[in-house]
Amino acid sequence: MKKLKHLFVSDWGRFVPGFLFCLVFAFLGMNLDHFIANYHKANVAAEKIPALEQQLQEMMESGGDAEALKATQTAIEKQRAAVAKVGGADGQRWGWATFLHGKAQFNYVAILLLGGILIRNFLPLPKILLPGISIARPVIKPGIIILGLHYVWSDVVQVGGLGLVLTAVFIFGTAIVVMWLCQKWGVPDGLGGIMGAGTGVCGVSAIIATSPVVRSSPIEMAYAIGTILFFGTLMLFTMPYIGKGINLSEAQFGAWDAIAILNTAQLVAAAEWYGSEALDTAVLINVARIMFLPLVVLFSLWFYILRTGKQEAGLEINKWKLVKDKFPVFILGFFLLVFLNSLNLESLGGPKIQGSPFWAMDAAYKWFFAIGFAGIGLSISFEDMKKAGGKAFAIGMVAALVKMVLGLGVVLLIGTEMLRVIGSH
Amino acid sequence: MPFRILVCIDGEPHSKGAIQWAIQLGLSLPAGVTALHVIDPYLKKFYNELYSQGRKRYLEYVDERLQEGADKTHSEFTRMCQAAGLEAGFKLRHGEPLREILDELRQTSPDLLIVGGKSLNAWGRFRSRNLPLRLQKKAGVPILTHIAKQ
Repeated sequence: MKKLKHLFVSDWGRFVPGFLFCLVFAFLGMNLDHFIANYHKANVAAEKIPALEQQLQEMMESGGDAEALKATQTAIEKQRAAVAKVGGADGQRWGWATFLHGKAQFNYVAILLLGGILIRNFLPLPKILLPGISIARPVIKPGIIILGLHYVWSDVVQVGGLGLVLTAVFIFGTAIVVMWLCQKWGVPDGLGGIMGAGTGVCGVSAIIATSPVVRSSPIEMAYAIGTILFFGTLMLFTMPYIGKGINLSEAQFGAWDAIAILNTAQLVAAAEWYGSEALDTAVLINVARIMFLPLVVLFSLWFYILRTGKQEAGLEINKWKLVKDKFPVFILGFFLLVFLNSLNLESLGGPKIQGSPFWAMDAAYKWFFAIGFAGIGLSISFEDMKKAGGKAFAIGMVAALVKMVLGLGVVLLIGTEMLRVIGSH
Repeated sequence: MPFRILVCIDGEPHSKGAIQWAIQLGLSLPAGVTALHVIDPYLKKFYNELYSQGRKRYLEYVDERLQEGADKTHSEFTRMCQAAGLEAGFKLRHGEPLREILDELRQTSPDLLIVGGKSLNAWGRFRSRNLPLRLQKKAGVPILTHIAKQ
């Protein structure tokens, strides 16, 4: 019993209200998405029906073959069913739904993120909800583990291998250039170290891992976190529209997103917003990216402490323990599912085989994401971003812009095929 | 009942001017001076970022650095008071600064509150949480704000 007790945080009760709030918000967001999607489908169907009816009429007049007639009739019935699903009648249109769902990409990701930001910043959100909201974000992690079902080893080798090269170049390129420039510009080591790691690897998560190593001051951490959140949010809401504007394929967007967006939770949200193929590519490259986290922390340690001889006398640094502590263990779960999916076991099925265990797991991932996105939206506070400033802001802006432009150039050069995940499609 | 002054200090250069005002008033009135430093645990809320590793170490590190800042602020205040020959008190609170200062005001009802602030342009006013201004609206006691030149 005592051992079981240790599984729970002693003050777990304070997390319950906010977490329940995120659950309800996610439920409403998903249902609103479903509602808009149904009307969008009905609108598309309503627009197709007259043309199909005319085609049927012409076929009947010209005495077309029976099978083609039957196929057209079935198609008309299918479109009518989509219209009937929303209680519509012949001739009715729902252009607003097509605008929201198709053109504005107003899906559950946008609903939860924008809705969350509005609630957090413009409504009096009770403080009792804040602890629970903060633990809703990591719920994305089980969703990412489940996404392992979307891949087979050939994807990991092709897209993940390419991702590994891309992320190695971009992560270490960014970290080295930022840290070197910071030293040239006289930026304190504490700030340079966390900005190098934060802009290079995975935003705030990297700042949290690196700040104790490079001994950043609280004010430097506040500046750096504010800057990363500001540019991460800006990119989250602009990159999907830039991608659509320049006709970037989903796979290319996923790779660009995984290279350029500074904060990881926002990266996953932007990819899911863009489309399922974008998510598959982004998550795989991002897994490669976060594997570098311990190495970047180790690099910061060498760059600021060991190389310059600033190590405190008598203090022994255990590098292996450092790497072990900073390793994101949950990605082992992701690779386990990739492995099981690659075995193609009949007992486990697959994400597309209805009724199989893997199909059931795959159906759950969007719900994990929805709860996580509710947490992300409700955590984006303008007050936090206003803390961005000083030299951190200038460094963040340069790093974000350079990564965005260079990353776009690279994914355009690579093309779609090399970046597309095959496993689930 | 002797005149009591509460001075809010955060270890930043602009709060030095506020300390000097509090010391001068404390000696000339005379008045009892107490300094209040609030440790803001704002950074801790990021500990469970999506991929964050070494969370426990991060929380310990933030605590350690905030405590170091508080100790430094305390010793600087004590040194300035001793140099001027004033005996003053020091209080430490943990939490969101505005709420903690208002709580302290409610509990101790000082006669005067002294705070330090920066001279800010429009962008700076937008970005900063402008604690002195918010205190002026909510404190319910006379406030002296020492504005430091940047």
